[in-house]
Amino acid sequence: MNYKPDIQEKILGIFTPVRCLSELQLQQYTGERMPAFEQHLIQQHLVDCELCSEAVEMFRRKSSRQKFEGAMPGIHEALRKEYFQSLHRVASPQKKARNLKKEKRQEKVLIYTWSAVLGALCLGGILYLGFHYKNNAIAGNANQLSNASGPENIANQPVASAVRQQQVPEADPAKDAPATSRPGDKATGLKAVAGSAQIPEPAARNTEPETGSPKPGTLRSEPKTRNPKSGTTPIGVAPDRQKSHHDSSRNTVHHNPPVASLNNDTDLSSNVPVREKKDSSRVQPHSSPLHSVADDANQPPTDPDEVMYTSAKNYLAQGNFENAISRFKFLASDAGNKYYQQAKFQLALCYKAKGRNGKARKLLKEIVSGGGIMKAQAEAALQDL
Amino acid sequence: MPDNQHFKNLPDRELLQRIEKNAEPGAIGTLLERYSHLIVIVCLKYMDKEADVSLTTQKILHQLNIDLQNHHIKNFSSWVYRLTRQYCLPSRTSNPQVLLTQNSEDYPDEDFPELLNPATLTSSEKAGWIMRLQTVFTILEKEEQDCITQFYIEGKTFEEIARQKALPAETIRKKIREGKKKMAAALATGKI
Repeated sequence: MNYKPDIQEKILGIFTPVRCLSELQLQQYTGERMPAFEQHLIQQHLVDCELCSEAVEMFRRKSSRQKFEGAMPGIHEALRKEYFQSLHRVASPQKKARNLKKEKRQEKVLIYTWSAVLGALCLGGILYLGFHYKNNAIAGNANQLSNASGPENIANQPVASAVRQQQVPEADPAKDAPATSRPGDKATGLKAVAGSAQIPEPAARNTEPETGSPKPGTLRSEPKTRNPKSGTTPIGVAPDRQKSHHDSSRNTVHHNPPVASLNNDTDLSSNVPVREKKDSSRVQPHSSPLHSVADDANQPPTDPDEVMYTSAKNYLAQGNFENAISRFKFLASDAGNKYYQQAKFQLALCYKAKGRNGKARKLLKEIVSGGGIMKAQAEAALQDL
Repeated sequence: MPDNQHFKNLPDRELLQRIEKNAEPGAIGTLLERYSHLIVIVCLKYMDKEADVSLTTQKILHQLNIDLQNHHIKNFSSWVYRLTRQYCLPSRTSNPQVLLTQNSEDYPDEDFPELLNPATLTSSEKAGWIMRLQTVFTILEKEEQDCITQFYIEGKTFEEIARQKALPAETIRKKIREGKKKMAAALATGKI
């Protein structure tokens, strides 16, 4: 006989075992409530199983079915009592132990999770506070400055540039140049703004000892005068310039939100640490770097280089070396600058104050070797080092 | 220890192995519960009173519990059937153990049907078995061959074949059963 593959499978099915009928199957089969396929499977089993075959035969009788339904509950109960209650009794303590173990495990997982969350929160808090204090320090510097020189005549630019400096503390002068612009440039930048603002009268200057080299620790600023007229509008700043300056500050603020609130509270262009004085007469900057505070106080800075030099010295007096250094560096980068020597010398002093003696020594040696007006001071400072 | 539900999903063979190994009460209970309704209904064939049926069933279940722990049982359904008949028809034999040892209702090899489970066979084994089954099929009587072909190959029910042959459905079942027994015997004795 050569059968097709599906028939061959059916031949194998002749001896395929099928389970005995359950109570439900028995009821369904005899009640003819079973699909044809399942019915055939049951019949395949009935061929082999005399027990099920007799059970089916008896179950078809109504009287037997009634007796069966009466007898079964007692049998089930007896079986449950005999075999499954003991099973439950044995299983119960084990189950309890298992549940207890499970609960403990869940508790542990919860503890670990909450610890991790708490740790993350603490870390976040510490980072936030650190960031907050850092910004407060910047704001504090700005406030100190404004308190020292009067809130009304302090231009905003240094704060904005302070923020920039915060982001890039050791700015390369060459890099800074486009931002702050060269003396000749009239584009944007600190110099341009300072120049256009024509901040007229630096009232207070850092006091320096007349003899010997000036030391940062000895420097102090003395706010001498305030301009009562100057309110929220910075003096001498053209409205369009104010606007552009304001916008540029906002751009900076965009990167540093805590300072933004500070800048919004105060006038954005009123933070230039350049003092104003009542006397409107303008004098050319002193040629000597050792010019006294008294002298400077009577000389309004007209030259952008002078403004920058003065502002740098003010920063130095405040102990804000970073800003002072960046400005001195800028001035010292151009040999044609009239503050070239002084800026270089002050830069060396800044480095010295910051403990960067190598750089300070190098600069001082350059000054000494180059000769010029600061040679004697540089030599003295070099000896101190 | 596995719970009751776990035992319910196990086949008879697995439960018997567990009982033989550890005499697990859950396995014994599950196996007895699986057959209790069949025992009750078969007992009803020989007893009229419901109380007698309940009592006899409980006796059978008790005896099965003992047998399960003392005998190596391969085909539990046939064991249950023989024991039930012993308890229901005590007058047929004075020694029930005689029936147990005769084991006349079983195939010569009780494991034979499960060996032919197609799910457990490889393709080469299948091909071999098909060849052998086709060969042993030829030793059957014409009537048996016809019934087996109609039932297994054509998928007809007992009733359909019975109508066609004008015979009772039970007769058809018995013819198929007889034919299978002959085939199994021929395969087990190695004649084929």
